[in-house]
Amino acid sequence: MARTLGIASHTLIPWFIAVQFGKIAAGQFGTCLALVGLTMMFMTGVNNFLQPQSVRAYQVDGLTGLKKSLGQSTAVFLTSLGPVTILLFVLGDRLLDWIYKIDFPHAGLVVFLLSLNLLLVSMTVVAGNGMAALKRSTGFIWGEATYCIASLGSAIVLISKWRMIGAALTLVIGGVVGVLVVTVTLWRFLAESVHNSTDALSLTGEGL
Amino acid sequence: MSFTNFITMVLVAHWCTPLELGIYALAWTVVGFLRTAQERTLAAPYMVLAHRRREKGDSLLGSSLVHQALFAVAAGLGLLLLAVSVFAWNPIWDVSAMPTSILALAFAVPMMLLRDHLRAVSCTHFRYHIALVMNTLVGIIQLGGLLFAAAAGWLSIPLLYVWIGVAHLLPCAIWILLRPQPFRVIPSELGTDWRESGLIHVGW
Repeated sequence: MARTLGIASHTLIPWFIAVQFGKIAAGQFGTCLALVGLTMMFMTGVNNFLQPQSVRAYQVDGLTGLKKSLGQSTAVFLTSLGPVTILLFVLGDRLLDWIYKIDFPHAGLVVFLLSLNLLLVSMTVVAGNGMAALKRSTGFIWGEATYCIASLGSAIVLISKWRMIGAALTLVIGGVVGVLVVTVTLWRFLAESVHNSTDALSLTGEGL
Repeated sequence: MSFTNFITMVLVAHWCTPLELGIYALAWTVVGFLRTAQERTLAAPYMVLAHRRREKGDSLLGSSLVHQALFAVAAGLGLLLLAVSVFAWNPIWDVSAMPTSILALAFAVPMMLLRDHLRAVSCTHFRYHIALVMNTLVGIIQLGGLLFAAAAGWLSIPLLYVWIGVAHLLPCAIWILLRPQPFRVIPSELGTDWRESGLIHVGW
């Protein structure tokens, strides 16, 4: 259910826009989300391959293997989604016009911020894979909850002030907070796993 | 499947008014939320339990389908209530108005959720070709109907959502008739299987 909390922001923010600036603005924001959503399809597909790899790496090579696998996953997402984010920064407004015939002030910036959010989400996904490998997926709920609280909390101020740029910025803020929380949580889980394995070795005498 | 939805939104942006696009996008956020909620609540635990509890056989799928039906009905009723609430906010009863679109969504969403679940079930049992056939059928019917409605000048967001529901209904009906994955509903198991699915969420 943790992912439901995360998607709550994506569900509610277009409605906030609709209430404050009307349904046409919500539609414009929706098309930006849909354009960036294409990248999300790629991220989901790649993660269907990466998550089992992380789980297997932990089972075969322990924590060292898991850390290596998570590092590789991070590199895969940064090298694939990073250039897409830059591409959308440069061509976002033109792509919106070509594909949807949608044009509004600062459209490119909104698309860029949403793709930046997706890049941040991909980092939380990597941390989530680590937690899944450690069989501690419940830790992910803290990341999702803080993502939701930070984005919806900042939405109250930012959307009325900067309209759609503010709306996209709220998701970036949520993304930054989410990444920090899941990374710290995973770090703690990894440290506990090291501690537990050291204890187990001491009990069996192998650590001596 | 996401490709069909992407193309649908592109066509809506080209052929409908900006206001209709806004209504479509807003309604779609609700669809996205409900699909994710169902995927996490029902499909993901089924994916784990189907392999972990092989001895339960067909009854686990029977229970999962009953749980899904209850979820879909609750989602449909929730949307019906939302349509009534939004009617108070936007009291214009015409085909481009928000309440009519959400009302149409209340019809379509249970079908979309059922198709999603049947696809997840097919993938769980490594029957990807069934998921692919279902996706293709939905795509052809959905986009074909959309093109026809646009050509005939009938295209509106409520009609589009009703049509999306119909496009999802047909492959689901075929799946239920052919039963490519056998299932059996055992009423006494429904509660036990629900609790066991819940335990998956807490990392059991």
